[in-house]
Amino acid sequence: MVREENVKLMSRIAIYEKHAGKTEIPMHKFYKGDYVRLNCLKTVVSATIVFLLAASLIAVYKLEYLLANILKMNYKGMLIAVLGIYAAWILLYWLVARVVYAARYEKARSNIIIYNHHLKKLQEEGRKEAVKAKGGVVIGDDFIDF
Amino acid sequence: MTTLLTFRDSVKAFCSRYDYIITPILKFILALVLFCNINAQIGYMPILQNKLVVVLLSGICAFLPLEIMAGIGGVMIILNSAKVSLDATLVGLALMLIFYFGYARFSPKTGIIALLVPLCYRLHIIYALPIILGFSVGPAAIIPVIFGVILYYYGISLGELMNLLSASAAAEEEETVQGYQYIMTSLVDNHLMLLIFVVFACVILVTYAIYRASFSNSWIVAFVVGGFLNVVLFLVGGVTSSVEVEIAPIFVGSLVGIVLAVVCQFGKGIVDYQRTELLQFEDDEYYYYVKAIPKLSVAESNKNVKRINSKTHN
Repeated sequence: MVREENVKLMSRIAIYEKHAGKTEIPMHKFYKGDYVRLNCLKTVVSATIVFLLAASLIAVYKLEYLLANILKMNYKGMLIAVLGIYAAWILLYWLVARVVYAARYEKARSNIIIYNHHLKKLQEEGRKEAVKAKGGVVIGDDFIDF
Repeated sequence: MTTLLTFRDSVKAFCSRYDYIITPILKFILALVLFCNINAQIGYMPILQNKLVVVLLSGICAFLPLEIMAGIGGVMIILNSAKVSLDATLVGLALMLIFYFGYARFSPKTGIIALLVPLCYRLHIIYALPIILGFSVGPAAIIPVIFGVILYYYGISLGELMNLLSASAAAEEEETVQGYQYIMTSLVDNHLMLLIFVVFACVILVTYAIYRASFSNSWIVAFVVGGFLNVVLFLVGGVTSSVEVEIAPIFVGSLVGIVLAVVCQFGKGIVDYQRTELLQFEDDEYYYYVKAIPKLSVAESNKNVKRINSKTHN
């Protein structure tokens, strides 16, 4: 038998899963700290790719200069400078990622609470129906199974 | 004003009810306009110039998220660049990847703004863009706008490179033009582009900050200050950095920006409607195909209040 109340609940759950839930449900499989750390790690990988691409673009653009001064260049100083810029770049991305992903997690929290509440309610309805089907009686929130 | 508000509510109700038809149509139009613009600016690959291919791609984009549309646009730009020279394509590809890994991966929805910038240049409303984005998107739009401006100037450089290459091929010159160096030099030495980055970032930030302020009518103050700042910063920047800036288009663009922003502000309520949802789910016994239509109430305009007692109560 189709129950109107269950259809309403399932529809609300399906609407959430179709839109915001797509990103928010996997997000809340993690603790906040783990989620933020994992995404910061992903961000560091992305930032490294960006740094390598930008460095390659500049290196190829300045290739003539680099080739002309290949023997005169201070490689130690250059390496320190590049590593310094890289460290600053990664630090910047890391900090921004920490703030952004923590805020996203917090923003999703209230939606997840409502979603879980709907799921629990649906589960409860299912249990009530199962008890009734067996000939039991439901009084308030308690189930009396004969 | 009441008529306008009623009209807005009616549009909102209509959009809400027929969202599943209207959204794909709007996405199709947007994709068609964007892809035609790419072809008009750098359409060097014959297969992408084919109208059927453009319509087909737009049709696919109608049912896909906006971020995929932006991705397809990016691929089209790269394919068109490949027809000009391989090294110029490498620059384009590197720029796209930098934008994707550096920003679009974290905020994919803003990627489409980058493709809208060249379109705004074509429609001569580029100076209106920061005011509109300042209040509608906020600081998240700064990087996509900057990348969009780079994309526009990349397209211009690509066109110039194409002309140079064809001229040198026609003259049978031995020394060929180096595409990579040409594109990079034209981008790095473009001081106007740098000025645009700075001004657009400032205007977006200031418009957003004032728009979000809590005083009454902050929105109109934000638009006017944003427009004013746009003109002043371009003037000051042009003088201090010795860049030739045409002030008339900036002034007109800023005015258009203010007007468009007011129109968008009025229509903003239309966009955040509850959509009609077509859902599919199942339980142990049934498959459900549900169409959930939001309950809406449209304000009635023809309410006449007749005052029958003019006495005032103290």
